[in-house]
Amino acid sequence: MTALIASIALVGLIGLILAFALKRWPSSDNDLVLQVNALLPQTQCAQCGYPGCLPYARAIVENKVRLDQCPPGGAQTHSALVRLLPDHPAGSAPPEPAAAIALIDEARCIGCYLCIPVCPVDAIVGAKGFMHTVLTKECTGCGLCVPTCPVDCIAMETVPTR
Amino acid sequence: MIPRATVPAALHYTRRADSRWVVALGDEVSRGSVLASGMCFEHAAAGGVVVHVDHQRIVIRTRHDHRQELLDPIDPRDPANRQAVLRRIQEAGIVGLGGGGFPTHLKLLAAARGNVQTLIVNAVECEPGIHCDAELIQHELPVILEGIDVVRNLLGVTETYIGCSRSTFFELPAATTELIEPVEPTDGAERYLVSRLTGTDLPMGVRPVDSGSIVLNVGTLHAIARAMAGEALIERVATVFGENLRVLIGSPLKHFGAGEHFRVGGELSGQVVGADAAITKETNAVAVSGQFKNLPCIRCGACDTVCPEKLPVASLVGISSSEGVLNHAALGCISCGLCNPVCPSDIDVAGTIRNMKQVRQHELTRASAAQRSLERSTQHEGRRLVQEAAQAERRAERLAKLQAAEAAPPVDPRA
Repeated sequence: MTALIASIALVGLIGLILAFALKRWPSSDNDLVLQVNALLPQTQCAQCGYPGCLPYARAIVENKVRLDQCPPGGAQTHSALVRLLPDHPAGSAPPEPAAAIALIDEARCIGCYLCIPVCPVDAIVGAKGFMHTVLTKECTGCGLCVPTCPVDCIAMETVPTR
Repeated sequence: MIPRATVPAALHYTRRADSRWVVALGDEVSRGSVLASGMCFEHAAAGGVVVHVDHQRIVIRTRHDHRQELLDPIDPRDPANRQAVLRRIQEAGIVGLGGGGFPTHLKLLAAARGNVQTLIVNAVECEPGIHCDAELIQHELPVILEGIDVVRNLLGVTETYIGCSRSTFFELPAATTELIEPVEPTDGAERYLVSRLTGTDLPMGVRPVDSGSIVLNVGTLHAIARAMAGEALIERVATVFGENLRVLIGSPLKHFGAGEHFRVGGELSGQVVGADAAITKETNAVAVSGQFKNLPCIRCGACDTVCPEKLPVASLVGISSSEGVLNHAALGCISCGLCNPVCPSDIDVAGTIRNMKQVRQHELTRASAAQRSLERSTQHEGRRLVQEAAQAERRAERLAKLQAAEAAPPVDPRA
C-alpha cells in the first residue's frame, strides 16, 4: 500500500517538475521562436529591419536582438514580449501606433504593377496597364508599397483606431 | 411639438471607424450635407463652414441658414425598393438610438440574410433620468408606426412585439404589446427583452438576429421613417437636464448649461465625460455630474450581489489590469450600471469595467487582425516561392540550351 502511494506521489511530483520545466525552459529554440512570432502583429512590414515577423522573432531568439524594434505592435506587443522573455535586452516601449491604411489615388495610377507583388498580404488588386486599388479591409498599413510607386500616387491615411 | 434646442455656435463630430471625411477645411456645408461617408455616414445638422478637420474630429461654425438638403423620397411599400431602403438607411446615417449606436443597416442586413420572423420594438425606458422615448411616442407615434411598417415590409416579419413601460405604452393592430411593470433597470437591455417577450434565452455573445428576432428602439424606427421621406439623421430627442428636447447631433454639451463634467446617459448606466464632449447619435440623456471619489475598494462585494449577469465585479475592479481570464469576464457586462450606486467607496465600477471591456475587445480585434494577416502573408510568401522556383527552373533550362549550343561544333553554312 505504502509502495503504491509512494509511487503515485513520485509520478505526480515528476510530472509537476516536467510541466514547470517545459513552461520555464521551452523545449527548443524553435518553439520559442513560434511563441515570439505569435505575439508579433504579423503586418510583415519589415520596419524592424528584418524581412518579416518570423525572421524578427528568429533574430530575437537567436541573436538577442532588442525587443523594441516593432513599431506597429506598439507598447502592447512590447510588454507582451518582455513578459515572455524577462531576461532579454528590452529597450524602451515604442509609442502607441497610429493605425493607417494605404490609399491609391486612382486618377494618377498608371497600372505599372510594381506595388502589387510587394504587398505582403495581397491587399492591392489590379493588372498590368489597368488601375490598381487597395482593399482597405485587408491593408495592414505596413507602407511597403509607398516607395515602389513611380508616380507617387500611394499615400498612407490615418484611420481611427478600431 | 417637442421643443427644439437652439442652434449652437459650433458643431463637433467624431468620425466612426470605417468612414472617411468627405469635406475639407473651409468648405461650406448646409443642413443635411454629408460630412463622412463609408460604412457609416455623418451629416451636418446645421449650415456653416468647416473650421477644423483632423482624422478624428470635425468642427463646423454654424450660420443662420435653414435650407436643408434632402434626399429623394423612397416608397418603402414597393417590393422592388428593398435594396434602396437598406441603402437609404445606411446613407441617412442611422444607428441604434437607444444607446447602443450599432449601425442599423448592418443589423437589418444580418436580419434579412438570417431567418428573422420577429420584430421587437424596444420602448422600455427602464432607467431613471431618461424619458425621451416617452416624449417621442406621445408626440410622434404616427411616424414611429410608419417606421415599424418599413421594417415589417423589408424583412417580411410575421410577428411584432412591443415592449414598453407605463410611460411609453402604445398598441398596434397585429402586434403584441407587453407592458413591463414594474420596470427593472435591465429590462431595456436587448437580451433581457428578447427572453422576456419571446421566451428564448440568449447566451452572452449571441445576437437576437441569430435566434430569429430583431430589436429596434422606437427612436431608431422614427429615424427610419424620416429617412424614407428623405431626411438624414441630424437631430434626435434627448433628455437634457431633465427636459426633453430635439437636439442637433454634434451640439457641444456646454451649449445646454455650465458644468465641468457631464453625465451622458441615464442615472445608472451614464458615463461621465468632460466639458468638451458633444451630443452623439447615441446620446439619450445629458445631465451635470459630479466626479467619483474613487476611494480604495474595501472588498465588501456589494457590486457582486447586484450584478444581473453574475459577474465577479469586485475581483474585476480589484485587479484593474488588462490581463488574465477575469478581463475576459468583463465582456459579459451589459453596462446596466447597477453596481455604481451600491459602492460604499464611490468607485466608478461600471466605468472601470467598461474600460476593461474596451481593452479586451481591442486585444481580440488585434489578435484576429494578426491572424488574418498571417494567413494572407503565408499565402503570398508561398506563391512567391513557387514563382521564384519556376523562374529559376526556366533560367536553368535556357542556360543549359545555350551551353549545349556553344559546345556543339559550329555548323558550316556551305555544307
